[in-house]
Amino acid sequence: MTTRAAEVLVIGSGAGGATTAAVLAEGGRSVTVLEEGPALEPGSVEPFSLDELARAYRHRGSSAALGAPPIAYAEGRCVGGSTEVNSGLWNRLPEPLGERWRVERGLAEFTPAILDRYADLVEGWLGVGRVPGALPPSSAVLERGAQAMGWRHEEFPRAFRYDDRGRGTKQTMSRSVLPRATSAGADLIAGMRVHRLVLSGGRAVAVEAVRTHPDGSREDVTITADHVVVCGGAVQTPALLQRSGLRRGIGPGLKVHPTVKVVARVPEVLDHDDVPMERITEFAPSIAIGGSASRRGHLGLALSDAGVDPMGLLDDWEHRFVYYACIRSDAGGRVRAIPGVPTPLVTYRLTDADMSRLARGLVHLGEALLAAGATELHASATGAPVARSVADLGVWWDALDRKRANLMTVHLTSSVRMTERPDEGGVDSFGAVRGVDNLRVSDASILPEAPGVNPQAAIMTLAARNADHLLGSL
Amino acid sequence: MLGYERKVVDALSSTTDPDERTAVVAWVEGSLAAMPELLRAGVALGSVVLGLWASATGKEGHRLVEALEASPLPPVRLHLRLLRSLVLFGDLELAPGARP
Repeated sequence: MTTRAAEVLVIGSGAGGATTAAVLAEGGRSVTVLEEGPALEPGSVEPFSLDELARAYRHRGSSAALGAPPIAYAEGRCVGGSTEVNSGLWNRLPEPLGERWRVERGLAEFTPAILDRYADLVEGWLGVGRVPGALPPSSAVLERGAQAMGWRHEEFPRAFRYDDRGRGTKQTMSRSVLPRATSAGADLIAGMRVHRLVLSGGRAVAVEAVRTHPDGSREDVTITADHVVVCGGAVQTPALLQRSGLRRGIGPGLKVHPTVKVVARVPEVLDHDDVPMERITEFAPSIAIGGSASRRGHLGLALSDAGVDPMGLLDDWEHRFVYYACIRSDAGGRVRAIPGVPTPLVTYRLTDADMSRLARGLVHLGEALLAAGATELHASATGAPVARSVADLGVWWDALDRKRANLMTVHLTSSVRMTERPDEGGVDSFGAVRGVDNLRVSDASILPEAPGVNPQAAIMTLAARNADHLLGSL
Repeated sequence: MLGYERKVVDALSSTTDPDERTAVVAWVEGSLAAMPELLRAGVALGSVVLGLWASATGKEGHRLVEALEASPLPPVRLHLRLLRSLVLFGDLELAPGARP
């Protein structure tokens, strides 16, 4: 058993944890960051590959929220968290949504001016921009489809830096914010899984963890801390808090962006080494339309989800791409820690309105792709007929039912919601856990709702704001 | 990986190269082992039940897969779909020229 001590202990090194660590370390505090996953050399893992699934994802990306239908989801598990494996799309928290949260949840210091100040800060750290030059072909398909339909669309910025030749490098936490934190003195420890917070006298006095060393050996570690900030994400954070005996407002209210996919075949050869940054925003915020990773493996899986044998269809895979429609759902889910089981149980119950919204998103996606010149569409609903014309899309309304829909998500939020109304969530306006003086949460779990867009910008903005608030109290 | 799961994986994989096939099986085995414990337990329970059924009916290889595909029971088809997804992703991503 090893014992260590920290002034501020940050559990998790993703968007929330890295930002928290950087603000506090640059503010002069002594910070220790614990990350369960390994430290991977930036650029050493090929994006969207099997190697990435095996090394950088929790459960190799094979997790699911149980329900009817179940929803597959994926989480990063490495230094930098999900920012190492996501697409880097950058969307500030939509102002009307922030205003609604401020009013409905009674959130303090949650005005657009304050949020913009912190968004500016983290954007300055990362570098946020659009692709120089013309859109890649996979993005151009969405642009063309939206224009033909007369729908609003836009190229979303990304947390990328581009060199003079237009080559982009994603600004993951391991490339950008964590080096800021460690340069300011923060200690970053990989391979450290925290099992439990030790609570005493209304304070989190220590954490109990197991460290896995690169040679595979394991070591029990106890770390005492003056302050603890949990940043494990919307699944791991509530599970850790529950394992530590904290349950009020911890775990219910989970939100995801349920997503349905379509494999489109188009006349031109498409790019397959990145995701499209173009989005159709006509139906936002309830429905967002975009594109996702489309290597041969992803195409095969998406075609399989449509209930067809993909092998014969992949001869021309360079002409095929996976596009998606995702929704803000009315439904909620729950994260439950199960005694003796490391991984929590995650459940999610879509409402009938959610299913209808997904079907509408699917049909609108089909309309845009056909308008863009797609000649063949396969939807991720088992047995859904292939669509080659707008008339074929009619049957998709009924094809996406609870038994046949194959859904996924990569955005999980809101399982420890931020609110000044204690019955409605787990933490206050600044992420402080009620009843535990020195314990805070700062990650996707504190967002009161799913934002309808990639949540990384909202997570980092709130983490910077909350860390600044903590800094002021130390 | 349970014996029944290995049989289904063998039947599903379209890879003919022995080394690639070994890599695909290893990929599926690693993915099953990495699944959340509760999900893995559910899959393993399904594998035991379906393994008993397959033994009782004498179904193997492609005949077994065809019977699973035609099952009127959604959990049986879901179980097959999970294994098929893992095999398919491995087959496609481990094949030469998989990188974009």
